[in-house]
Amino acid sequence: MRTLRILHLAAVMAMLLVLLVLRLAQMQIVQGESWQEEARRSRLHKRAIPFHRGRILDRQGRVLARDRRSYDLMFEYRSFRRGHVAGQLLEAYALLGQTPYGLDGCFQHAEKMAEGMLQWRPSQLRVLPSRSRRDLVFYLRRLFGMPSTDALLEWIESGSGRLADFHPAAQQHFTQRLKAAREAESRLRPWLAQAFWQGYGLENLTRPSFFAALEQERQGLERLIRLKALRMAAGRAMALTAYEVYLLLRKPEQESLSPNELLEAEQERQVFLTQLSRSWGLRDDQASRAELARRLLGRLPDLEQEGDGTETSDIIQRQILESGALLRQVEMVVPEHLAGVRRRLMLEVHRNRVIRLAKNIPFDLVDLLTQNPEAFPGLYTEENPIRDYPASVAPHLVGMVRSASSEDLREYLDLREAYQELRGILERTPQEEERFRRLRDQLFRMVLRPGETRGRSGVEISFEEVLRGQRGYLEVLEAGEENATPKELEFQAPRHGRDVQLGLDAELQRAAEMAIVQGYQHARRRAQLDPKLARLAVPEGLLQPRCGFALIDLQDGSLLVAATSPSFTVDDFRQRYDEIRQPGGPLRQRALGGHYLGPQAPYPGSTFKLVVAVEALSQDRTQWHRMRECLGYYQPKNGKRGLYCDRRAGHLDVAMEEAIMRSCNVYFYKLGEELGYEALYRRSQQLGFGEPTGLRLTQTVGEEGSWQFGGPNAGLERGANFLTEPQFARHSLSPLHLSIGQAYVQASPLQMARFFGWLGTGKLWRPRLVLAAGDTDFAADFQSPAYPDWMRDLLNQAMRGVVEHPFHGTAYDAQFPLAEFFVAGKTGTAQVGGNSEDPRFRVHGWFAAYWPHYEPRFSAAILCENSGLHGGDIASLVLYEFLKSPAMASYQGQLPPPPAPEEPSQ
Amino acid sequence: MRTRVPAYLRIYRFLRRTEWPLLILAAAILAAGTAVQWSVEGLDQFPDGHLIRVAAAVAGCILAASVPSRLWHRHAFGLYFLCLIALFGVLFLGRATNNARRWIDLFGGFKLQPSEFTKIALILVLARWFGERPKPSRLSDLFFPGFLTFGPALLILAQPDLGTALSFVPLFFGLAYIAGTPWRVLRWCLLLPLFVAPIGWWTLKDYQRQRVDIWLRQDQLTQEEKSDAGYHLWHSKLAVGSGRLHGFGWGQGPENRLDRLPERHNDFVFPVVAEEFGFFGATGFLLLYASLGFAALFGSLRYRDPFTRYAIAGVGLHFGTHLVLNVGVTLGVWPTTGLPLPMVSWGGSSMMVSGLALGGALAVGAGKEPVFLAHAFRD
Repeated sequence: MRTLRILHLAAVMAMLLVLLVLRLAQMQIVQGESWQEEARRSRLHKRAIPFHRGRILDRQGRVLARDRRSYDLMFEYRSFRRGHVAGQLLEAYALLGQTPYGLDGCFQHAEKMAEGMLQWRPSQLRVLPSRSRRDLVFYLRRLFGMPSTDALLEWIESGSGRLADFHPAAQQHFTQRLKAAREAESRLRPWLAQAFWQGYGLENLTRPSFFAALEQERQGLERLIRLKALRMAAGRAMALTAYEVYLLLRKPEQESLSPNELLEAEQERQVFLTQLSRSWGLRDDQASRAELARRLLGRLPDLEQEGDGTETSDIIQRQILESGALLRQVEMVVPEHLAGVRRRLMLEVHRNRVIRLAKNIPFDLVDLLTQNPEAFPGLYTEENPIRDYPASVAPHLVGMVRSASSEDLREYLDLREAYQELRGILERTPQEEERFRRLRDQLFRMVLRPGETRGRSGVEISFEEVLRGQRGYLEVLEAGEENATPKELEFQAPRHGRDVQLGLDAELQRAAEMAIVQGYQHARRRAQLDPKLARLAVPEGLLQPRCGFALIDLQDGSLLVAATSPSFTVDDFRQRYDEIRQPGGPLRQRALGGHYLGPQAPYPGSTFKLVVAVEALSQDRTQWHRMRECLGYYQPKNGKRGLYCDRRAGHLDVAMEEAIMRSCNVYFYKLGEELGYEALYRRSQQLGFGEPTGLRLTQTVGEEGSWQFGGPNAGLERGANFLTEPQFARHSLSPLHLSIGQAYVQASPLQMARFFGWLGTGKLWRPRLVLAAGDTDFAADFQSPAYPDWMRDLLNQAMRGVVEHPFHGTAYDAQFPLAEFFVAGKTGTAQVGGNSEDPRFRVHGWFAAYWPHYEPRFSAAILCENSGLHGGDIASLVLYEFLKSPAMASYQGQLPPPPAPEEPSQ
Repeated sequence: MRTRVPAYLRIYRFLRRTEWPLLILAAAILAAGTAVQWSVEGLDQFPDGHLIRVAAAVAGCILAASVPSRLWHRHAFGLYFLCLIALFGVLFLGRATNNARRWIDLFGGFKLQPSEFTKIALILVLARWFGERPKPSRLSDLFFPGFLTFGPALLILAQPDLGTALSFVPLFFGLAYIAGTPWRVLRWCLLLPLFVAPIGWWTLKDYQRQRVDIWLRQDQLTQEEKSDAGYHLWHSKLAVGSGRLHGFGWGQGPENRLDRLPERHNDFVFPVVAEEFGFFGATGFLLLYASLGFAALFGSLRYRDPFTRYAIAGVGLHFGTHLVLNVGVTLGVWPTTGLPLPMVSWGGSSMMVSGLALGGALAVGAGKEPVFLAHAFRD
């Protein structure tokens, strides 16, 4: 019977054994692979390798934007405290609650501190909890070359005597290590000082040592740890997370709250603080509650916030002391609120906070640090390319990059959280696995991380997808303490971004900018001679050109030039942003329209008369010859006031050709009234007015085929191209105003250039800013509203007359003969309302043209904003200067020769 | 008056009667343990500390074996009370480590863990108690042995040392079962934990509750828990699981080598075996270790004398219990409680006690002539 019982017992034991073996089999055989992967992953660190953004090129392949290689100096405190003598000394003392010096002091007084440590007795160290003891042993072993962890632990547990007696070789080992550390420091010192301070512009000031700077960073971390520990303890007391505590305390300070919500939030905060004060045994009155809230939020006392007399380091020191006192209080009253918090935070903060000490450091320092990584543990370099704009051309269109915003970082954090959640699951379903891999790729290769840049405006943002590459990464497997060189495992090369080629020509763009300056100079010199203009201070207004210039290649619709003046450079943007962001300042792209203020509204003025002419001719061919009388003003049938012609004396009887040449308003008033607003509206719409030009930059991303307006760069064209709908233009004078391009229509120079391109070739181009992005070529694209040849010949003849006719041509100028370049065009002078003598309300001068008139290849429009001069007195001069420039000469050389003048038929 | 037996004859008798399988298995386990400790220490450093403890175990074994069986029998209660006094003493005089008072400092830097020695004393006392009485037939027959067991268990619980206290429970029930307690009595005792559990839960410390909580959710730990409360369990499982079929090889396990596995020279020594020797090695180790328990249990069958029989079976139970509890913890089968694996783990007291227990078993066994036909003596 009893034998049987022993057998029973053996059977139970055997069953339990089988259970264990089964469990072992489950873990090692069934799940073995995933455990192994998990273990490997938990030892793995991924180090990101940055990619280079794609270049932005002009049509000739000149570089407009590119990434330049540069390195940042990074500081990771965890490696420093584990690897460097100063860090080890400081942390070892800190474990015992003593911090006699900062890092700089520790390095300076290392011998003294080591001597002190060698006098330590185990009885002093036994007060430490076991985890801290192990930490201490770690530092002791590193500092003094002690034999084994266990022996040291044993010594602390039950040994006696001084540390120096325990390990007699300690002093010698320490001296050697300190010597090595000092040598390394002296080798790096000049470079470090240079790298660290050059970004601050403080090269010539007396500066603290590099270690003092490190100490400041360390204190920043310490402050953060204490602050977080306080919040965490508060969270534990009230069953909240640390972040919720922060939100709760911050809530009453939000500006978007309604009064009721504010009251509620404030009450909630007070209740929270009261309960917390009670549970921590603090005084509970108004003042101490406010004090508690201040400490939990990590703020300074109000009194000292104003004065700038205190140094940052002093403030940090103060906060460290303050929060330390509060933490000790909590520790005494409710130790469970702080159990394990500090150590965990320390591990987390020291490991995850990597501090960027300096940007764009000298390459010699990079070499030194990468060749001797062990010389200065915790310091390493990280590649971080800088975006460079060598040509500094068309900043509005090329755009700029910016660093990660808080929104980007939130996206990064959200993704990381989702990723880590999935990572925690041991056996993922196929869907989870797929999502996990996707998230991992996104997180490690795509998402904008702290310190990286992305497009901010222009092509840089519109073609972000193309320009942006993918980060690569280097997997580093953590190695053991003794053989500290990590193994490099997997390497994934970064994929650099692809290039974007623009239709712009950088040389032409520069030539255009130059031409604007020269044209304005000529115009100013002439205006100074005119007493009336001089009295109105028009010449002074021309000192600072405000001008937009658009040029389209009519062969493929490329936007060759989109010059605007004034313009800015990327450096201006970074350093003088407050100056340039003034309304109407350089941030406005005038060639495309941009955000304008009232008097800058781009009314096309007389250049719009061609639309009226097109409409009239398409209705009735005989309009070309029909005469209309201009007596200087026109009184509509039911109008109360008369409308004046530019020439008050009147042009007398004019036909269409002469009306265009001389820009007779009354002729077009009459014609417009005859045609009606509706017809003019439809024709303008057909010719592209009232809509954005279809520039790929300003259209909504991803909507191919529809020239949708919007997206991040919409501001470049917003509001500039505008046409009043008929139902809002019921006034009897509406068609009259519209027919001379006033009040009811606005058009950017780009829009006008496009329209004149149609007048020249019959093709209404969609301007091509981008020729190719990555592998995609953006094909030429145009519409061709009906445009019979006879009409083109007639209008061509009229517009040649504008340039060539010595008596009537408004753009005829003997000094600046545009006819040399076979230009056909139309001037315009647009009133902007208000008092014409007020400098703010000066007229715009326009000139829109195409050339050569026998086989149009280019079309351009120039808007001299509020110049106070007729288009023929300023805008045409700009065009002349531009056509004369060497850059344009090479294009002109490609043009076919003009046909031989026809013999007059007998 | 007993005749004086010459020494050579006593040694001859001892060698003839003793439980050779126990000795051989124990030697194998000690060797395996040394190998594992060597790997934990890093292969370039010989584990001399462990060897000292192995020597202590061997010395303890020889010492215990040289004490005749009747002395063990006679002084069982004396030893037991000595241990009780030490347990009381440790509560007041003991050195506090990790918020627990478990050790008494001896001269020369040695320290003693009375709870370990109590295990032997308890086996002896229970063996004697059950051996001298007719088999328990009522619940009341178990009261006194229950008191003998749970008295010290409560003292140990107060240290606090939940693991050691828990290891007393299977010992008591196992011996009570072997002693012939009828099932109708024993089942009430087995139900007892169900009633005790809620009270126990209430008295558990926060960190212990947290361990149970972590154990229950061991497959859904958050990243934070893995690096905090669940660190031990998580890294233990990482080490075991990543060993797979063949393991990384001796001294090559990353969790071991990189110092990521906590307490790996002590309670979490088994994951090192599993990581470095894989499923085959770990199963082999389990079988080797378990066969020590089985050898003791089956060996006890050879004796007719109840004290001998129970004492040897008790030693078998002791090793079996520790194996199942310790390895179960590292595999996440049970919640984490600190219990070493005797003869493999690091603790000196545990090692010495294992030696003493083995030696005691050998001595007790040697005291009586074994009977090879067990069935002939069925009562």
